[in-house]
Amino acid sequence: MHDDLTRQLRDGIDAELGSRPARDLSDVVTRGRRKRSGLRLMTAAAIVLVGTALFAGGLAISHSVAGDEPLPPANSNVIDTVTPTPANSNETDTVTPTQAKDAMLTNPGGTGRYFVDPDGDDATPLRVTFQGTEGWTSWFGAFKYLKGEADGFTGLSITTVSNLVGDGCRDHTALDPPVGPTVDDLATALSRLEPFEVAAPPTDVTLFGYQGKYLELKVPALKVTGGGDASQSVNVAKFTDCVEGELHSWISPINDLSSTLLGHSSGIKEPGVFNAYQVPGQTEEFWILDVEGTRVVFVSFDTPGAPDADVVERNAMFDSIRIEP
Amino acid sequence: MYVARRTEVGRLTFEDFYAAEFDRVFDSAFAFSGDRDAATDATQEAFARAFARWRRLSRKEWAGGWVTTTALNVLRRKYRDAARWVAPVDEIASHDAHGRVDLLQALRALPVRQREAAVLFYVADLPLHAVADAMGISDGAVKSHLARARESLRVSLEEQDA
Repeated sequence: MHDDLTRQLRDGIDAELGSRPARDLSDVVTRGRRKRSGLRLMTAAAIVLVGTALFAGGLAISHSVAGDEPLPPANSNVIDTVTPTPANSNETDTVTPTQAKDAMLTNPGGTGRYFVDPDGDDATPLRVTFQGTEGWTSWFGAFKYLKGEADGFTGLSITTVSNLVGDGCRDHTALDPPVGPTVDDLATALSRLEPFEVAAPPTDVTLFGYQGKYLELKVPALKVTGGGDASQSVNVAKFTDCVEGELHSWISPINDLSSTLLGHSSGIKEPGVFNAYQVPGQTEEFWILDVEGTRVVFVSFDTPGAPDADVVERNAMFDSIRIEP
Repeated sequence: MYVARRTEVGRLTFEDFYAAEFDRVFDSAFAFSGDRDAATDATQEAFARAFARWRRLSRKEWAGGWVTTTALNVLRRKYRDAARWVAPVDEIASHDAHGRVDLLQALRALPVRQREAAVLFYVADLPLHAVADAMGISDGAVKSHLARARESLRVSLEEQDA
Protein backbone atom coordinates (compact mmCIF):
# COMPACT_ATOMS: atom_id res chain seq x y z
CA MET A 1 0.00 0.00 0.00
CA HIS A 2 2.77 2.42 0.98
CA ASP A 3 4.91 1.82 -2.09
CA ASP A 4 1.90 1.89 -4.39
CA LEU A 5 0.62 5.17 -3.01
CA THR A 6 4.08 6.69 -2.99
CA ARG A 7 4.64 5.74 -6.62
CA GLN A 8 1.27 7.05 -7.75
CA LEU A 9 1.61 10.30 -5.86
CA ARG A 10 5.09 10.91 -7.20
CA ASP A 11 3.93 10.09 -10.71
CA GLY A 12 1.14 12.59 -10.22
CA ILE A 13 3.57 15.25 -9.05
CA ASP A 14 5.84 14.63 -12.05
CA ALA A 15 2.86 14.85 -14.38
CA GLU A 16 1.58 18.11 -12.90
CA LEU A 17 4.93 19.81 -12.57
CA GLY A 18 6.83 18.85 -15.65
CA SER A 19 10.00 20.12 -14.05
CA ARG A 20 11.10 21.20 -10.59
CA PRO A 21 11.89 24.87 -9.94
CA ALA A 22 15.53 25.88 -10.03
CA ARG A 23 17.32 25.57 -6.74
CA ASP A 24 18.47 28.88 -5.34
CA LEU A 25 20.80 28.50 -2.41
CA SER A 26 21.76 32.17 -2.46
CA ASP A 27 18.12 33.14 -1.87
CA VAL A 28 18.01 30.82 1.13
CA VAL A 29 21.21 32.30 2.54
CA THR A 30 19.96 35.85 1.99
CA ARG A 31 16.69 35.14 3.75
CA GLY A 32 18.43 33.35 6.60
CA ARG A 33 20.82 36.24 7.18
CA ARG A 34 17.94 38.70 7.08
CA LYS A 35 16.27 36.78 9.86
CA ARG A 36 19.40 37.06 11.95
CA SER A 37 19.52 40.78 11.27
CA GLY A 38 15.95 41.05 12.50
CA LEU A 39 16.90 39.38 15.74
CA ARG A 40 19.77 41.78 16.23
CA LEU A 41 17.48 44.76 15.66
CA MET A 42 15.04 43.41 18.22
CA THR A 43 17.88 43.05 20.69
CA ALA A 44 18.93 46.64 20.14
CA ALA A 45 15.35 47.83 20.46
CA ALA A 46 14.94 45.91 23.70
CA ILE A 47 18.04 47.53 25.14
CA VAL A 48 16.63 50.94 24.32
CA LEU A 49 13.26 50.07 25.85
CA VAL A 50 14.82 48.68 29.00
CA GLY A 51 17.00 51.72 29.35
CA THR A 52 13.92 53.89 28.99
CA ALA A 53 12.05 51.86 31.56
CA LEU A 54 14.88 52.09 34.04
CA PHE A 55 15.12 55.82 33.48
CA ALA A 56 11.40 56.11 34.09
CA GLY A 57 12.00 54.52 37.44
CA GLY A 58 10.75 50.97 37.48
CA LEU A 59 10.24 47.54 36.08
CA ALA A 60 6.70 47.18 37.28
CA ILE A 61 4.03 45.38 35.32
CA SER A 62 2.77 47.43 32.48
CA HIS A 63 0.03 46.67 30.01
CA SER A 64 -0.29 50.11 28.58
CA VAL A 65 3.09 50.93 27.12
CA ALA A 66 3.84 51.17 23.41
CA GLY A 67 0.42 51.60 21.92
CA ASP A 68 -2.34 49.10 22.24
CA GLU A 69 -0.21 46.03 22.64
CA PRO A 70 -0.18 44.58 26.14
CA LEU A 71 3.30 43.95 27.42
CA PRO A 72 4.66 41.25 29.71
CA PRO A 73 5.84 42.22 33.19
CA ALA A 74 8.74 44.03 31.57
CA ASN A 75 10.18 44.03 28.12
CA SER A 76 13.78 43.10 28.68
CA ASN A 77 13.36 39.51 27.63
CA VAL A 78 14.75 39.70 24.14
CA ILE A 79 18.18 40.55 25.45
CA ASP A 80 20.71 37.76 25.09
CA THR A 81 18.46 35.79 22.78
CA VAL A 82 21.21 35.93 20.21
CA THR A 83 24.88 35.90 20.93
CA PRO A 84 26.39 38.80 18.98
CA THR A 85 28.74 37.69 16.26
CA PRO A 86 30.90 39.49 13.72
CA ALA A 87 28.92 40.52 10.66
CA ASN A 88 30.48 37.94 8.37
CA SER A 89 30.83 35.12 10.82
CA ASN A 90 29.50 31.69 10.10
CA GLU A 91 25.76 31.89 10.64
CA THR A 92 25.60 28.40 12.06
CA ASP A 93 27.37 29.68 15.14
CA THR A 94 24.87 32.46 15.79
CA VAL A 95 22.53 30.91 18.30
CA THR A 96 24.15 29.65 21.45
CA PRO A 97 22.04 27.10 23.31
CA THR A 98 21.76 28.15 26.92
CA GLN A 99 23.16 25.87 29.57
CA ALA A 100 20.14 25.15 31.69
CA LYS A 101 18.55 22.54 33.90
CA ASP A 102 15.27 20.84 33.05
CA ALA A 103 12.71 22.64 35.18
CA MET A 104 10.62 19.49 35.47
CA LEU A 105 13.52 17.33 36.62
CA THR A 106 15.09 19.69 39.12
CA ASN A 107 13.79 19.74 42.65
CA PRO A 108 13.67 21.70 44.72
CA GLY A 109 13.86 24.77 42.52
CA GLY A 110 16.23 27.59 43.23
CA THR A 111 18.47 30.00 41.46
CA GLY A 112 19.95 29.08 38.13
CA ARG A 113 18.89 28.73 34.58
CA TYR A 114 16.06 26.33 33.78
CA PHE A 115 14.51 25.17 30.57
CA VAL A 116 11.06 23.99 29.61
CA ASP A 117 10.23 21.98 26.52
CA PRO A 118 6.80 23.50 25.81
CA ASP A 119 5.61 20.78 23.44
CA GLY A 120 7.03 17.98 25.55
CA ASP A 121 8.93 16.63 22.59
CA ASP A 122 12.65 16.22 23.13
CA ALA A 123 13.13 15.73 19.41
CA THR A 124 12.00 19.21 18.44
CA PRO A 125 14.50 22.05 18.88
CA LEU A 126 12.07 24.43 20.60
CA ARG A 127 12.70 25.18 24.24
CA VAL A 128 12.22 28.11 26.59
CA THR A 129 14.63 29.06 29.35
CA PHE A 130 14.19 31.29 32.38
CA GLN A 131 16.11 32.33 35.46
CA GLY A 132 14.87 30.51 38.56
CA THR A 133 14.55 32.06 42.00
CA GLU A 134 15.21 30.58 45.43
CA GLY A 135 12.12 29.38 47.24
CA TRP A 136 10.04 28.58 44.19
CA THR A 137 8.75 25.20 43.12
CA SER A 138 9.67 24.28 39.61
CA TRP A 139 7.35 22.68 37.13
CA PHE A 140 6.84 23.73 33.51
CA GLY A 141 7.62 27.15 34.84
CA ALA A 142 7.55 27.92 38.54
CA PHE A 143 5.06 28.64 41.27
CA LYS A 144 4.97 29.67 44.90
CA TYR A 145 2.26 28.98 47.39
CA LEU A 146 1.89 30.75 50.69
CA LYS A 147 0.00 28.41 52.99
CA GLY A 148 -2.17 29.92 55.61
CA GLU A 149 -4.80 32.59 55.86
CA ALA A 150 -3.44 34.68 53.05
CA ASP A 151 -3.80 31.83 50.55
CA GLY A 152 -1.24 33.53 48.38
CA PHE A 153 -0.53 31.77 45.15
CA THR A 154 1.40 32.98 42.14
CA GLY A 155 3.25 31.41 39.29
CA LEU A 156 4.32 31.14 35.71
CA SER A 157 3.55 28.37 33.23
CA ILE A 158 5.33 27.78 29.94
CA THR A 159 3.60 25.23 27.80
CA THR A 160 1.59 24.38 24.75
CA VAL A 161 -2.16 24.00 25.08
CA SER A 162 -3.82 21.28 23.06
CA ASN A 163 -7.41 21.74 24.16
CA LEU A 164 -9.79 23.08 26.80
CA VAL A 165 -12.46 21.50 28.94
CA GLY A 166 -16.08 21.92 27.95
CA ASP A 167 -16.94 24.04 30.99
CA GLY A 168 -14.51 24.92 33.75
CA CYS A 169 -17.06 24.25 36.46
CA ARG A 170 -19.66 21.82 35.16
CA ASP A 171 -18.00 19.79 32.38
CA HIS A 172 -14.42 18.69 32.83
CA THR A 173 -14.28 16.59 29.68
CA ALA A 174 -12.17 17.83 26.79
CA LEU A 175 -13.82 19.76 24.00
CA ASP A 176 -14.80 17.59 21.05
CA PRO A 177 -13.93 18.61 18.42
CA PRO A 178 -10.87 20.10 20.07
CA VAL A 179 -9.78 23.70 19.88
CA GLY A 180 -8.31 24.54 16.47
CA PRO A 181 -4.58 24.83 15.91
CA THR A 182 -4.11 28.57 15.58
CA VAL A 183 -3.34 31.27 18.11
CA ASP A 184 -6.69 32.88 17.38
CA ASP A 185 -8.49 29.59 17.88
CA LEU A 186 -7.13 29.23 21.39
CA ALA A 187 -7.55 32.88 22.33
CA THR A 188 -11.16 32.82 21.22
CA ALA A 189 -11.88 29.52 22.96
CA LEU A 190 -10.34 30.73 26.21
CA SER A 191 -12.34 33.92 26.11
CA ARG A 192 -15.50 31.82 25.80
CA LEU A 193 -14.65 29.29 28.49
CA GLU A 194 -17.31 29.27 31.18
CA PRO A 195 -17.50 30.27 33.96
CA PHE A 196 -14.40 32.44 33.77
CA GLU A 197 -14.72 36.19 33.43
CA VAL A 198 -12.77 37.88 30.68
CA ALA A 199 -10.78 40.55 32.50
CA ALA A 200 -9.03 41.56 29.27
CA PRO A 201 -10.26 40.40 25.84
CA PRO A 202 -7.86 38.97 23.25
CA THR A 203 -5.65 41.61 21.71
CA ASP A 204 -2.70 41.43 19.36
CA VAL A 205 0.67 41.29 21.02
CA THR A 206 4.29 40.89 20.05
CA LEU A 207 6.44 39.24 22.68
CA PHE A 208 9.96 37.85 22.50
CA GLY A 209 9.85 38.74 18.82
CA TYR A 210 6.81 36.58 18.06
CA GLN A 211 3.26 37.63 17.30
CA GLY A 212 0.26 36.37 19.16
CA LYS A 213 -2.63 37.22 21.42
CA TYR A 214 -2.91 38.40 24.98
CA LEU A 215 -5.92 37.96 27.23
CA GLU A 216 -6.72 37.75 30.91
CA LEU A 217 -9.24 35.52 32.67
CA LYS A 218 -10.57 35.84 36.18
CA VAL A 219 -12.24 33.33 38.47
CA PRO A 220 -15.78 34.60 39.07
CA ALA A 221 -17.56 34.93 42.39
CA LEU A 222 -18.28 31.24 42.89
CA LYS A 223 -19.04 29.73 46.26
CA VAL A 224 -15.90 28.35 47.88
CA THR A 225 -15.30 26.26 50.97
CA GLY A 226 -12.03 25.24 52.59
CA GLY A 227 -8.60 26.55 51.71
CA GLY A 228 -6.35 28.61 53.86
CA ASP A 229 -5.32 25.60 55.91
CA ALA A 230 -1.62 25.80 56.65
CA SER A 231 -1.43 22.05 57.15
CA GLN A 232 -2.73 21.31 53.68
CA SER A 233 -1.14 21.48 50.28
CA VAL A 234 -2.22 23.45 47.27
CA ASN A 235 -5.68 23.17 45.78
CA VAL A 236 -7.59 22.26 48.90
CA ALA A 237 -10.22 24.92 48.38
CA LYS A 238 -13.48 23.61 46.96
CA PHE A 239 -15.76 25.34 44.51
CA THR A 240 -18.93 23.99 46.02
CA ASP A 241 -21.12 24.02 42.94
CA CYS A 242 -18.54 22.61 40.54
CA VAL A 243 -17.80 19.03 39.52
CA GLU A 244 -15.40 17.53 42.08
CA GLY A 245 -15.31 20.92 43.74
CA GLU A 246 -12.74 22.07 41.20
CA LEU A 247 -12.35 24.51 38.37
CA HIS A 248 -10.56 23.15 35.30
CA SER A 249 -9.45 24.98 32.18
CA TRP A 250 -6.66 24.35 29.68
CA ILE A 251 -5.11 21.01 28.78
CA SER A 252 -1.37 20.75 28.32
CA PRO A 253 0.64 17.85 26.91
CA ILE A 254 3.19 18.40 29.66
CA ASN A 255 0.97 19.25 32.59
CA ASP A 256 2.67 17.90 35.68
CA LEU A 257 -0.29 17.35 37.94
CA SER A 258 1.77 15.86 40.69
CA SER A 259 3.53 19.15 41.26
CA THR A 260 0.40 20.69 42.66
CA LEU A 261 -0.31 17.63 44.75
CA LEU A 262 3.16 16.98 46.08
CA GLY A 263 4.53 20.49 46.20
CA HIS A 264 7.32 19.53 43.83
CA SER A 265 7.67 18.31 40.29
CA SER A 266 7.82 14.60 39.59
CA GLY A 267 9.30 15.18 36.19
CA ILE A 268 6.51 13.15 34.64
CA LYS A 269 5.29 14.88 31.52
CA GLU A 270 1.86 13.76 30.52
CA PRO A 271 -1.31 15.40 29.31
CA GLY A 272 -3.29 17.02 32.04
CA VAL A 273 -5.60 19.86 32.81
CA PHE A 274 -4.78 22.96 34.83
CA ASN A 275 -6.89 23.00 37.95
CA ALA A 276 -4.90 25.08 40.44
CA TYR A 277 -7.72 27.50 41.09
CA GLN A 278 -8.14 28.66 44.65
CA VAL A 279 -10.42 31.62 45.10
CA PRO A 280 -12.67 34.05 43.26
CA GLY A 281 -10.63 36.88 41.85
CA GLN A 282 -7.70 34.66 40.92
CA THR A 283 -6.35 35.83 37.58
CA GLU A 284 -4.54 34.26 34.66
CA GLU A 285 -2.80 36.30 32.01
CA PHE A 286 -2.18 34.48 28.74
CA TRP A 287 0.36 35.29 26.09
CA ILE A 288 -0.28 32.90 23.19
CA LEU A 289 2.48 33.09 20.60
CA ASP A 290 3.12 31.51 17.23
CA VAL A 291 6.73 30.40 17.53
CA GLU A 292 7.80 29.04 14.18
CA GLY A 293 4.52 27.22 13.81
CA THR A 294 4.26 26.02 17.39
CA ARG A 295 1.62 27.62 19.59
CA VAL A 296 3.48 28.42 22.79
CA VAL A 297 1.54 29.71 25.78
CA PHE A 298 2.86 31.72 28.71
CA VAL A 299 0.55 32.04 31.68
CA SER A 300 1.14 34.16 34.75
CA PHE A 301 -1.33 33.49 37.52
CA ASP A 302 -2.05 35.16 40.85
CA THR A 303 -4.54 34.93 43.66
CA PRO A 304 -5.64 38.21 45.19
CA GLY A 305 -3.69 37.34 48.33
CA ALA A 306 -0.37 36.71 46.60
CA PRO A 307 2.35 38.73 48.35
CA ASP A 308 3.67 41.58 46.27
CA ALA A 309 7.21 40.33 46.74
CA ASP A 310 6.28 36.99 45.16
CA VAL A 311 4.63 38.70 42.22
CA VAL A 312 7.75 40.80 41.70
CA GLU A 313 9.90 37.67 41.73
CA ARG A 314 7.57 35.93 39.31
CA ASN A 315 7.71 38.93 37.00
CA ALA A 316 11.49 38.84 37.12
CA MET A 317 11.38 35.22 36.00
CA PHE A 318 9.03 36.20 33.18
CA ASP A 319 11.46 38.94 32.19
CA SER A 320 14.28 36.43 32.02
CA ILE A 321 12.55 34.17 29.49
CA ARG A 322 14.33 33.34 26.29
CA ILE A 323 12.85 31.35 23.43
CA GLU A 324 15.21 29.05 21.58
CA PRO A 325 13.23 27.80 18.57
CA MET B 1 14.51 10.46 -7.15
CA TYR B 2 15.11 11.16 -3.52
CA VAL B 3 15.08 8.63 -0.77
CA ALA B 4 14.37 9.19 2.90
CA ARG B 5 17.59 9.25 4.84
CA ARG B 6 18.84 10.16 8.20
CA THR B 7 20.84 13.30 8.70
CA GLU B 8 24.48 12.42 9.11
CA VAL B 9 24.69 14.14 12.43
CA GLY B 10 27.39 16.75 12.61
CA ARG B 11 28.83 15.85 9.22
CA LEU B 12 26.49 17.33 6.67
CA THR B 13 27.10 20.87 5.46
CA PHE B 14 24.06 23.04 4.89
CA GLU B 15 24.83 23.19 1.18
CA ASP B 16 24.82 19.40 0.93
CA PHE B 17 21.67 19.21 3.01
CA TYR B 18 19.90 21.69 0.74
CA ALA B 19 20.97 19.80 -2.36
CA ALA B 20 19.89 16.45 -0.93
CA GLU B 21 16.57 17.51 0.53
CA PHE B 22 15.24 20.16 -1.85
CA ASP B 23 13.17 17.83 -4.03
CA ARG B 24 11.67 16.06 -1.07
CA VAL B 25 10.62 19.32 0.59
CA PHE B 26 9.37 20.93 -2.60
CA ASP B 27 7.42 17.87 -3.75
CA SER B 28 5.80 17.62 -0.34
CA ALA B 29 4.85 21.29 -0.39
CA PHE B 30 3.47 20.95 -3.90
CA ALA B 31 1.54 17.80 -3.10
CA PHE B 32 0.14 19.56 -0.05
CA SER B 33 -0.89 22.76 -1.83
CA GLY B 34 -1.05 22.21 -5.56
CA ASP B 35 0.44 25.67 -5.98
CA ARG B 36 3.84 25.65 -7.64
CA ASP B 37 4.80 29.21 -6.73
CA ALA B 38 3.61 28.93 -3.15
CA ALA B 39 5.37 25.59 -2.77
CA THR B 40 8.59 27.08 -4.11
CA ASP B 41 8.43 30.02 -1.72
CA ALA B 42 7.53 27.84 1.24
CA THR B 43 10.41 25.52 0.45
CA GLN B 44 12.87 28.40 0.30
CA GLU B 45 11.46 29.90 3.50
CA ALA B 46 11.74 26.59 5.32
CA PHE B 47 15.34 26.14 4.27
CA ALA B 48 16.09 29.73 5.30
CA ARG B 49 14.81 28.95 8.78
CA ALA B 50 16.91 25.81 8.81
CA PHE B 51 19.91 27.85 7.71
CA ALA B 52 19.48 30.22 10.65
CA ARG B 53 19.62 27.34 13.14
CA TRP B 54 21.69 24.85 11.28
CA ARG B 55 24.11 24.08 14.07
CA ARG B 56 21.32 22.74 16.25
CA LEU B 57 19.19 21.33 13.47
CA SER B 58 22.04 19.35 11.97
CA ARG B 59 22.07 17.27 15.14
CA LYS B 60 18.56 16.04 14.47
CA GLU B 61 18.25 12.57 13.03
CA TRP B 62 15.59 13.63 10.56
CA ALA B 63 16.34 17.27 9.84
CA GLY B 64 14.68 16.87 6.45
CA GLY B 65 11.43 16.08 8.22
CA TRP B 66 11.73 19.29 10.23
CA VAL B 67 12.21 21.37 7.09
CA THR B 68 9.36 19.61 5.30
CA THR B 69 6.99 20.21 8.19
CA THR B 70 8.10 23.83 8.39
CA ALA B 71 7.32 24.26 4.70
CA LEU B 72 3.86 22.78 5.21
CA ASN B 73 3.29 25.10 8.17
CA VAL B 74 4.30 28.08 6.06
CA LEU B 75 1.73 27.05 3.49
CA ARG B 76 -0.90 26.45 6.12
CA ARG B 77 -0.46 29.94 7.52
CA LYS B 78 -0.46 31.45 4.05
CA TYR B 79 -3.79 29.92 3.16
CA ARG B 80 -5.28 29.59 6.60
CA ASP B 81 -8.52 31.27 5.71
CA ALA B 82 -8.73 30.31 2.07
CA ALA B 83 -11.60 28.16 0.91
CA ARG B 84 -9.20 25.94 -1.00
CA TRP B 85 -8.23 24.22 2.22
CA VAL B 86 -11.68 22.82 2.62
CA ALA B 87 -12.02 21.28 -0.81
CA PRO B 88 -15.48 19.98 -1.67
CA VAL B 89 -16.04 16.27 -1.25
CA ASP B 90 -16.68 15.69 -4.94
CA GLU B 91 -13.05 16.58 -5.63
CA ILE B 92 -12.08 13.32 -3.98
CA ALA B 93 -13.43 11.43 -6.95
CA SER B 94 -12.17 13.83 -9.59
CA HIS B 95 -10.61 12.41 -12.73
CA ASP B 96 -7.84 13.62 -14.99
CA ALA B 97 -8.02 14.03 -18.76
CA HIS B 98 -7.39 10.32 -19.26
CA GLY B 99 -10.20 9.29 -16.98
CA ARG B 100 -7.87 8.27 -14.15
CA VAL B 101 -8.64 9.20 -10.62
CA ASP B 102 -6.53 12.17 -9.67
CA LEU B 103 -4.95 10.91 -6.51
CA LEU B 104 -3.20 14.19 -5.83
CA GLN B 105 -6.50 15.99 -5.87
CA ALA B 106 -7.89 13.43 -3.51
CA LEU B 107 -4.92 13.98 -1.23
CA ARG B 108 -5.46 17.73 -1.27
CA ALA B 109 -9.07 17.25 -0.30
CA LEU B 110 -8.10 15.54 2.95
CA PRO B 111 -8.37 17.43 6.26
CA VAL B 112 -5.16 19.30 6.98
CA ARG B 113 -3.64 17.01 9.63
CA GLN B 114 -4.45 13.87 7.64
CA ARG B 115 -3.01 15.50 4.57
CA GLU B 116 0.12 16.52 6.44
CA ALA B 117 0.64 12.98 7.75
CA ALA B 118 0.01 11.46 4.34
CA VAL B 119 2.39 13.87 2.61
CA LEU B 120 5.16 13.26 5.13
CA PHE B 121 4.69 9.48 5.01
CA TYR B 122 3.92 8.82 1.37
CA VAL B 123 5.48 11.73 -0.51
CA ALA B 124 8.41 12.69 1.72
CA ASP B 125 8.78 8.97 2.48
CA LEU B 126 9.68 9.52 6.10
CA PRO B 127 9.38 6.59 8.50
CA LEU B 128 6.50 6.62 10.92
CA HIS B 129 8.49 7.79 13.93
CA ALA B 130 10.01 10.63 11.92
CA VAL B 131 6.54 11.75 10.85
CA ALA B 132 5.47 11.71 14.50
CA ASP B 133 8.58 13.67 15.40
CA ALA B 134 7.97 16.24 12.69
CA MET B 135 4.28 16.67 13.54
CA GLY B 136 4.88 16.71 17.28
CA ILE B 137 2.44 13.87 17.93
CA SER B 138 2.67 10.21 18.92
CA ASP B 139 3.23 7.31 16.54
CA GLY B 140 -0.29 6.16 17.34
CA ALA B 141 -1.77 9.51 16.38
CA VAL B 142 0.10 9.38 13.08
CA LYS B 143 -1.24 5.90 12.43
CA SER B 144 -4.73 7.17 13.10
CA HIS B 145 -4.33 10.06 10.67
CA LEU B 146 -2.87 7.74 8.04
CA ALA B 147 -5.64 5.18 8.45
CA ARG B 148 -8.29 7.81 7.87
CA ALA B 149 -6.36 9.24 4.94
CA ARG B 150 -6.00 5.81 3.37
CA GLU B 151 -9.69 5.14 3.78
CA SER B 152 -10.50 8.28 1.81
CA LEU B 153 -7.85 7.58 -0.80
CA ARG B 154 -8.90 3.93 -1.06
CA VAL B 155 -12.21 5.00 -2.55
CA SER B 156 -10.33 6.83 -5.23
CA LEU B 157 -8.03 3.89 -5.91
CA GLU B 158 -10.95 1.47 -6.16
CA GLU B 159 -12.65 3.73 -8.65
CA GLN B 160 -9.45 3.82 -10.66
CA ASP B 161 -9.17 0.03 -10.63
CA ALA B 162 -12.82 -0.46 -11.59
